[in-house]
Amino acid sequence: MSLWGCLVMMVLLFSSCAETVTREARYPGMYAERPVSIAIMPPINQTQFVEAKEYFYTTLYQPLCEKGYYVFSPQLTMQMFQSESAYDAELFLNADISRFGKVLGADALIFTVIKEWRKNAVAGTITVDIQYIIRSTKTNEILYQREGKLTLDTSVQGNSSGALGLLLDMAATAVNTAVTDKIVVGRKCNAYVLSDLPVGKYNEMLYGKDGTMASGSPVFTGTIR
Amino acid sequence: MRRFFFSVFSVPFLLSFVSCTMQEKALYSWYDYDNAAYKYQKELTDNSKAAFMTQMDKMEKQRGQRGIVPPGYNAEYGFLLYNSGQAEKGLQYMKKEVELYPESQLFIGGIIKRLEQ
Repeated sequence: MSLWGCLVMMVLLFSSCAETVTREARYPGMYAERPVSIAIMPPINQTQFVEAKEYFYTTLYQPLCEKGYYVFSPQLTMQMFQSESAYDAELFLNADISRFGKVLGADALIFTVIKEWRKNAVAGTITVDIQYIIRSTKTNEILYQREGKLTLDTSVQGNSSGALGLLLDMAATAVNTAVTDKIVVGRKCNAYVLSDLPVGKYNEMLYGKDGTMASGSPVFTGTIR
Repeated sequence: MRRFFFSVFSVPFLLSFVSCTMQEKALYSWYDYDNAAYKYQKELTDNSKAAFMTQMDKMEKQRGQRGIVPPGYNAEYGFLLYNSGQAEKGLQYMKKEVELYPESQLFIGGIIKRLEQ
């Protein structure tokens, strides 16, 4: 590599670094409050996929635990929410949530708003649009907010050519899309969006050290296969 | 000069590739928890419950970074056991949750108290 090549790389390297926003700058509340425990609120479903609320609920537990937080068992909290008339999380999205701190001992609540969740068998895609909001039970402030718009490409591209080949591919795509469980894309969306969440105290390796790491954009958009 | 540039720039580039390929070890071993929990919730049959209980049993063997079960595990498994006619064993698990994770004292401690009455 020539000297000029190296210089160009240096400029590219530093210019890309200059644009990054650190996690501490993007989510100052998370670092100021350092929540330890998080309770998962029942998802707010704005789609026609009526089962999304129940099925999506438990998928948040594992990625949040892996981030190093104490996460209340979703099976137990759901029973509590149902008995305490807190199943409709939209009632609490912008309201005072301090009582959840007093009843559960949770430092923060995570709300999810499912804006889109649909299958397109012809195009061979499953698309979700989910907003994630973490609010403090101490201050009611939003500590973390990010949205994920993710498309799972389930299309099948065979090797056969011609009109018949095209028809076979379309049929295979439709079948593949139909048998792919919608939950798969929800889980993947969690993984991508929450990868940006500052770590909690049970991630001993990174706790308190990830503030200078680069954060992602407020809206994550992507297509995966 | 040329050697200087190569040494200065090769290090960050190599590091960036290394960091991309290095997989951080998970904090906990989950086995097939997600699928079993989802199936149990979706079907609510004796079979899916049995499969979920087997899964929970498996999770006691932890090979993750922390070497202990994840938060909520003992509470959830304990509650399942309690509701499956194994009250004493179930309460023991729930008490383990509070010992291991004191953040659960208010919520799980309250459930234990109610179940013991």
